[in-house]
Amino acid sequence: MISRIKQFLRKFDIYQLLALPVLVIVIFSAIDFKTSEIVVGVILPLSKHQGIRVINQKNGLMLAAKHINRLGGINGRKILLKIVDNEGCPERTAEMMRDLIYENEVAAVIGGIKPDETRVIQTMAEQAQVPFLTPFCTHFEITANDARFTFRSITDDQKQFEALAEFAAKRFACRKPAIIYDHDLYGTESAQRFIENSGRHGQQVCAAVSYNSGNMNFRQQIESIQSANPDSVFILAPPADSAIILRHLREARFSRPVFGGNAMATSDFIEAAGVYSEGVVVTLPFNARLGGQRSEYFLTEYYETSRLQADADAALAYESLMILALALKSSTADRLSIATSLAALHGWESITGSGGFDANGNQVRPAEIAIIKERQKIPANLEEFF
Amino acid sequence: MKDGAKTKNQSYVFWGILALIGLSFYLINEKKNYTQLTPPSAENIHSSRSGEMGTAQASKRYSDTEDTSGNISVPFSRLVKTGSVNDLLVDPTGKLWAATEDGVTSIFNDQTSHFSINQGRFPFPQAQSLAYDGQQLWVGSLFGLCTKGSANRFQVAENVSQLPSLIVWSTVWDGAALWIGTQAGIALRGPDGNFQTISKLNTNGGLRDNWCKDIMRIANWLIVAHDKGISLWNTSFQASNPEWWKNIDNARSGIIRPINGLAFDGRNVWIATSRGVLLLDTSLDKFFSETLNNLISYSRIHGLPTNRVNTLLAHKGSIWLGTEEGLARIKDEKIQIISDNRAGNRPKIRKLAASGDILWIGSDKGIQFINTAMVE
Repeated sequence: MISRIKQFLRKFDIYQLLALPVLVIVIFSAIDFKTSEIVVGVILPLSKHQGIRVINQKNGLMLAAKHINRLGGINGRKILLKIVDNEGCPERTAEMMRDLIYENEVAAVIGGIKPDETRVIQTMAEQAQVPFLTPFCTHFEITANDARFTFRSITDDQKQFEALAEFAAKRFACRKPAIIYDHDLYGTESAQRFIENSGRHGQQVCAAVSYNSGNMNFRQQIESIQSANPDSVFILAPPADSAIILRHLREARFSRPVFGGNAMATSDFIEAAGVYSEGVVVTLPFNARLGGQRSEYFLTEYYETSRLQADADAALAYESLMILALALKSSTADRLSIATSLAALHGWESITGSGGFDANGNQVRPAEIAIIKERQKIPANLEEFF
Repeated sequence: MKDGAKTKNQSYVFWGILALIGLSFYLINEKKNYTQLTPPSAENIHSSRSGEMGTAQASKRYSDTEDTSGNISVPFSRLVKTGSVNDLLVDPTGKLWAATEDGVTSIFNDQTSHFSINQGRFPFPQAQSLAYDGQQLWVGSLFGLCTKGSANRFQVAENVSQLPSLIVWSTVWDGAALWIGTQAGIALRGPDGNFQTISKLNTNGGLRDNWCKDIMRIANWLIVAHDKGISLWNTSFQASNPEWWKNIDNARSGIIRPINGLAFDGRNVWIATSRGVLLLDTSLDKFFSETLNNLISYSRIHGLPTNRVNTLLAHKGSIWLGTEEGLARIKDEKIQIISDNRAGNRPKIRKLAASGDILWIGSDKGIQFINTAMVE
């Protein structure tokens, strides 16, 4: 056997034999193993207690990646999600973002829930010129600073305030609202925006009280609000805090309309507030009816995959990766090209309905209003059917 | 003879096929690289994102300056290509150092040297900030802190484990001590080489936020730009006493985040933001006797090329502004845009440094300079 091989090899010159490994090297160098997948970084507070929200956000993204890859990926390349835990802390967020950019060399980053951690992601993304898409953070400032690589696929606080103020004026003839806000999720600058918006709808905010996160007793704030005798109260706070504030308000016999943003449309809030949530007016970040067949398919697939009912977090997470996929398809998958493609996405149809980015990379979709009835969020235009 | 000719023919066929296969793979690879390496114009992003936004900052007093802008065209030097520039520093020998997204670059007498992790001459994937303490160069990175060793390479600094965070945003040498702004507070390097931490916790809230993105030392003041605004500490007194800190809160003063840079013109502090430049209209000697919220704003409506100002430099009686759409300066309350008389594009400037008449310009593409005497 060995002699046969020797005989066979003797037919060739030494140069011909040496040429073979050279050929192999040329072929291997031509195949780009590294870029056979597009890595997308995801930053979520996985280990911090966030209830079902983070689970749904993660599941939504993973389902989107599964759907994209099942259809052949992006121009033949699979999407790979690199999901990291920021523990809900800005310092940890910075470390995770740094590693995603410089060690994992991600093509883009999805994440950002609280404004402080979102600003860290944004600052590092802008510096390293990495596209950053947030489907969860609604703080107006994120897309109000001429950032080039930042995009937001969720309707921001400003649009939520506009929709709430308009609805309050038309439906309840509110003229003298009061607001209570936290310093982390909304902050004084958001409260100022709210007051400006209310003024445009003929409302004069009669009391604006704040509290620091971790506060469990809001009686002092509620006394301040009640002493101003408002005709409505807007709660700008995280879900758990909103539930306590609402309970305290109702226990203090405040029977006038109560309004809230996306944070009060979460199942966390409705579960915590219980019967007190009845009649509360909120903004609705996800209305499955607007997505038509797409959202029906998504809801079914989501349940079959995770055995959970998809909520707004799942839907918005799913939508964000689909938007990124749209941009990736029309780009060469390098960071600058992806950002250019995202900036050019002025309109799309997704499971949450029609959407698009404005000149600042902000979602153009207006906020929708819903009323909580029997612990269900009923879109305001369908209220008469319930 | 016939066998010899046959073998020769076989050899030609073999080499021909080999060359064809090699060439085809080479061409495929080249095409792929070409597609990947040809970047789309960054202007596309910018032009589609540069819509003018409202400048509703109710708590601020705007400058009475009308649109007094006047464009000045001067020659910019040829571009020295580097990674996107994060910081620039001219050392006492006149050598320019640049901290970039690829590492560190030095320029001296037309000689350019690059120090990167790939070459094994720099320990981190990127460099963020620079400081020169009279003896050695310090480089801050999002991965830690390093110094330039004698062997023409950088090495991780000693005692970095004492830093409050390895994510270093800024480094400042004030003539006596090295100050380091990190993600989790400020570190002060003592004469013994050990670091002391100044944080929100140990200043009892005097320092409002730990993310110290930019720091500046003026006289006996430490000025820190962070995520909640600006904190000013009178370093003559203990940092742990919050009474010796002054704070300018983002929300109350109307400063839009993020703060991109600070500069001091000898009397006033200037603040670069993504919504223009702010002049803190309280002189240094009145920091404690007056409220600090009197800010004068210069933005696009006053003649800036764009609202996004990335960096500031006080030099020769002017405030030089590095913006997303080129260079500008404010002198005697007038805004002037300074453009390259040979190139149409305005660089996205990320950092400025000055040495005599030379103004060094660090952009997302590399380093250039202008002669400021020509601007005058």
